[in-house]
Amino acid sequence: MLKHIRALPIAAVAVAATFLAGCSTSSSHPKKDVQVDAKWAQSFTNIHDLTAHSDIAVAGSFAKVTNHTYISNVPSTDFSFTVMRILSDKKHLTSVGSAITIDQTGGDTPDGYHAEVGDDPLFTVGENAVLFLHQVSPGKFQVIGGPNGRFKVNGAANAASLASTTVTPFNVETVKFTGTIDQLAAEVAKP
Amino acid sequence: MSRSSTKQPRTWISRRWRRLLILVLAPVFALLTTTGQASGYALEGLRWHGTPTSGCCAYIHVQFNTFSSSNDRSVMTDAMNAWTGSPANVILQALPGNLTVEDTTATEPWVGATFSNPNWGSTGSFVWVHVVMSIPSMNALGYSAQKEASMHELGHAMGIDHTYGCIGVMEGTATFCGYSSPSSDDVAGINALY
Repeated sequence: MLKHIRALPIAAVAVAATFLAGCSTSSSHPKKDVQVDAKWAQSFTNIHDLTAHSDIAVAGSFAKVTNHTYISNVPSTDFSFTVMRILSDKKHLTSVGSAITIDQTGGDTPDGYHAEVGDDPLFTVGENAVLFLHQVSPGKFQVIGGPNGRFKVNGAANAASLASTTVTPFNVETVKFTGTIDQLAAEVAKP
Repeated sequence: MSRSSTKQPRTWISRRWRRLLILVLAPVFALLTTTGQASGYALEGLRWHGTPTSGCCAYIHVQFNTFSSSNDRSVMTDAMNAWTGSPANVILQALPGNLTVEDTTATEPWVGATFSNPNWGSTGSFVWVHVVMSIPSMNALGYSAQKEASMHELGHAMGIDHTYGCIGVMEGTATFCGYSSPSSDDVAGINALY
């Protein structure tokens, strides 16, 4: 019996060491060509702040990739985004049915690598979204706060069905909202 | 008096079973407390190959590419010195290498970004890393936040990932936590790699 008791701490230490070794080598990143970590300039925790800090808030669809740039080692992708509904547009920068350009960090580099920001993966053509945007040049916008300013549109949305389509924040850890686009629009419209 | 003749006080649990419980529970307690501390820093799964895995120090070369803003260059130098002056087992030197730093005049939604090309071999090592700071975003910040952002990106460039709750410069939100040098948690992360 005593022999078994003496063996216990050795077994316990071995189990603990195995567990700790597993912890120290873990990684949260999927394996990609180039991984990107960004320190966002702004983050938001509610719809009111997103609205206050954005130039426009729109629902729509990513139609196509229009351009890739690679300046100062930063790959960027430009998307054409078709506006299906305007939730906020204080400066009258866009209209329903128009195409605006969304510029996002990430994409393909001239030397053949593909880069994406870990917590803000590249949009995909055909994807529907609600976006809170800052205008960087006429007709060209960036999502404010990276993942903070993008919302997933759940289900195949089109202009007719958009009102009742549900949306959820892309980053559920920060902005708390669950509801339809109509409900989000009402939240955005609150003073 | 012989040991075997000593009368033991009667307790709710025998001495032998108490010993057994301690032997079993002590490692479990140690495991829980150790992993509690380790939950602070996070690792990218990558490090600079060819550097020591412990002790002082890993010499990491930082190549300064074009900086359009002399302020950003100066802040990056201060951030390098902050890491070198910390108890982290790294010495950052402004020398040619595969870790480059620069800034961009482009408006970006981020203050800084680190682009890492990994070699996911058996150990996971960096092939190259580009750190880029956005001048318009940096200009919107005061010096201490600029330095914290630069230390943050250099932390990524050495292999540590985001943390949350303002426990160090690796804060993963847009918040700046007022660190003028790497925190003990940041240092623990680096020293887990070097």
